[in-house]
Amino acid sequence: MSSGSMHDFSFFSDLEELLKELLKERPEALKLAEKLLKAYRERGVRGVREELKLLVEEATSNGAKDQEIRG
Amino acid sequence: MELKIKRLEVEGFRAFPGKLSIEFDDRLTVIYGPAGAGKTSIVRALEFALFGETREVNARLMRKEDLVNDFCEKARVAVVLDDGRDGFLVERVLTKSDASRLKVVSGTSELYDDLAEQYIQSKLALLQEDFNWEIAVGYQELQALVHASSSLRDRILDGLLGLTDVRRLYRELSGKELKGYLKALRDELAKLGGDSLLSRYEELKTRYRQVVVERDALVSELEQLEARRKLLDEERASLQARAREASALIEERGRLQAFLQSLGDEKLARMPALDENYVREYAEKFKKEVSEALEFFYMVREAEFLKGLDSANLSELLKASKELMDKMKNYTIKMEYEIKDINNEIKRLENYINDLEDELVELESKIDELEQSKSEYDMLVSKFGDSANVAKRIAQIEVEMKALQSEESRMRCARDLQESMLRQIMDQGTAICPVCGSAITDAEALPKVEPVEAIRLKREKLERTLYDLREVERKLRRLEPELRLLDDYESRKYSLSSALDERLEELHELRASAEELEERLREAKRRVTGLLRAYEQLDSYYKRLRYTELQEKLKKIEAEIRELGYDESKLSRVTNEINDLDRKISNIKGRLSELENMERQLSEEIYRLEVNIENLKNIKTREEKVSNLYRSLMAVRAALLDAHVSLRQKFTRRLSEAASRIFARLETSGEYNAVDIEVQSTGSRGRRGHYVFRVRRKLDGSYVSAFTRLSDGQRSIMALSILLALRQLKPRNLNVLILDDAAPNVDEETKLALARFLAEDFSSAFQVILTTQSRRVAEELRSVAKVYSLEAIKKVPGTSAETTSVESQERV
Repeated sequence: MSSGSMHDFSFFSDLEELLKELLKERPEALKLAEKLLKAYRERGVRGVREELKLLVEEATSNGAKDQEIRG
Repeated sequence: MELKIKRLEVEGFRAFPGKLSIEFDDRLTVIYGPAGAGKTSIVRALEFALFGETREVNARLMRKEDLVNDFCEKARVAVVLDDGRDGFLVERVLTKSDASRLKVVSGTSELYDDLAEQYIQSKLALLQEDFNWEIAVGYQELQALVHASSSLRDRILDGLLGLTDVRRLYRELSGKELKGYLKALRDELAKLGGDSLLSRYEELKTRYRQVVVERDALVSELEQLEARRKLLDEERASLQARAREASALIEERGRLQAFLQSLGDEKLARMPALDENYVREYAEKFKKEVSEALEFFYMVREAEFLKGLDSANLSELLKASKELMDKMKNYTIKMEYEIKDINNEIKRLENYINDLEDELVELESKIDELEQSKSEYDMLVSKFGDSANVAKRIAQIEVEMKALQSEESRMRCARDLQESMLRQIMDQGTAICPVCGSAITDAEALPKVEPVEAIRLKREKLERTLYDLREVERKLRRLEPELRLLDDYESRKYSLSSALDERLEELHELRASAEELEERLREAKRRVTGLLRAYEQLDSYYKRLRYTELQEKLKKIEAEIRELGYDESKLSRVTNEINDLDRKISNIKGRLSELENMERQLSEEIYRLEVNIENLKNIKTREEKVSNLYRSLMAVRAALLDAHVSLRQKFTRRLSEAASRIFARLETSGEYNAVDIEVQSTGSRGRRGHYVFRVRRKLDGSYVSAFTRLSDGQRSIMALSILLALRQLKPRNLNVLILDDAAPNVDEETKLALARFLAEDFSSAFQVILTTQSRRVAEELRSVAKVYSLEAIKKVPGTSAETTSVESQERV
């Protein structure tokens, strides 16, 4: 990126910096934003979807499987 | 690495049925030609080669089959790219029906299709869906930028500014899926019952413990009761064995007890013992009384039978006297009926007598009335005679009356004649006798005529007598039937009086008979009542004597039973106790069964609840995690939106500055000198805002809306300035700017100004490829550019000019 240019693919750095500033009060959200941004940078929309899927899976499975009985 | 386009080869593409090959200048290439010469086809061929068909089809809304020349089966486009050190060739072949094929030749390597596409993208550092309007700019792009709807313009400018990624990221982070998960988890929590599940669990556990305690206590009690029952069973068996031995005696005792019960043993037991002699005397007396009563009832034969019975045999005496007393009772009932019949007859007779008496009274009153008529009749008869005499007298008077009437009329005529003759005499002096015809002159000579008045008086007297007699006759005739009726009434009275006397006598007799019968009935009833009392007394004596006798016998039997070793009361006690125990055991077993069921159900319920509580905890943990993740995601999304706005503002500021510099060069009217791209907020729903173009008026330095104040040509220049500025600010690996007659709607001066600007400011940094219809522009740039002039092209294959001719002109 030349100094006078608008941006190049390092536009993500700008975005990251902005997000850092905007989410400085929310460390867990910032962590999530960094993860998602990284995934997008590396693998695009598909990367974000995969990352979200992983996060949801992580949140929804705590090791103990629900048992069938519901009463 | 700065790539430039070295050569383009086209065959069967759009306007070119034949082969075309163009070598491009490193700095500026101008392709000049009239409309339809194929300028845009060259630009499209470059775009198609570099970006593939996606851009072509999506951005320009063209069908891929339109890229192939109408008279060709396939199109081939090849571009040679070079960065000064080495280069590579990109070749795309497209048929009307199939997908395009791609080949890249780099050095000795050849790549095809996907690999080739990846190679190009990596070399050009482009994404397939990226906006590349700043590389290849045509009139369509400029128009779209200016005239698109605000949302499409936002999308285009975001794409051009490289902010599509932010938009995409924002869209991807909608959290819809997470929200769905959260809802599902919360539904699941609600279904499980939430916190009430725990209280229900505690409640069930307490209940379960209570059931277990109660069950254990009952089991222990049941064991004790069953042990006791076993002992009692043995005892009862022993007692029953002895009872079997004494069964005949027991049976006999049972019969006796039943008989005693029928006698009313409880009452009899309380009475004192009787003297048998006294009872025998009483029985004799009773027999005598019954016999006398029977005679009273005219039952002599029965009385004799009773007398013949032995008073000592009380049972037989009581039985026989009971039957006879029943007969006597029936007799009294018969007497009652008989008395009732007589009384009915008396009542009927009394009614009849009353009727007779009423009739007699009525008759007598009528007779009294008729007696007066008889007196009147007798008086009339004594005075005038009977009706026949009166009639005879009336006839005589009537004859006399007639004679008097004749006499009176004769006298009247004589007097009239005399008066006439007198008038004649007086008038004429003489009168002629109408009878004899003699003439009479002296009035005195006329015979004397008796006066009529005397006859008339006589006649009137006779008339009165006749009237009276007729009245008498009429009265007599009226009274005669009444006299006959009187006779009838008297006769009827006589017969009624006789009947009444007879009935009265009959009534008297009936009353006497009824009184006699009633007297006899009272006596009969008195006797029967007395006998009944005596019977009951005797019966009571009999039962008491019998009871004493049977008691003796019973005592004897019981003594015998006891001798056999049978204790009935003990057996009864044991049996009762066994029955009680059985009832208790049955109740306990029933309750135990209930408790076991309850325990099983509670146990299952508790197990279910434990599982559900475990699930609840798991779900709660997950819900918390998902909720946290969702909140974080929403925070990221909001931050992205804010970042998007910040980046838009940052980029548009820079872009506005660069575009203003270019716009000031190209806007030849001198009316406006700067461009401002502003992001205008549209309220809470559109937090990102919309891009709005404004221009600065040179006259007063104020910014005005580009959409409303600029002409179409000025708007094209403004849009071109923005895209050129973007090209300057946004470095690409492909260091090329292609302008496809970008502003055809501007004047020649502006076109020349654009040409000069490109030659002076752009061609030093970029390889510029410019197509134009303007000869002046071509001539203007001839000195600094490689200029191609396109003639009218023969688009139909198979002609002599199949290969497109391109005039290459040397750079001056």
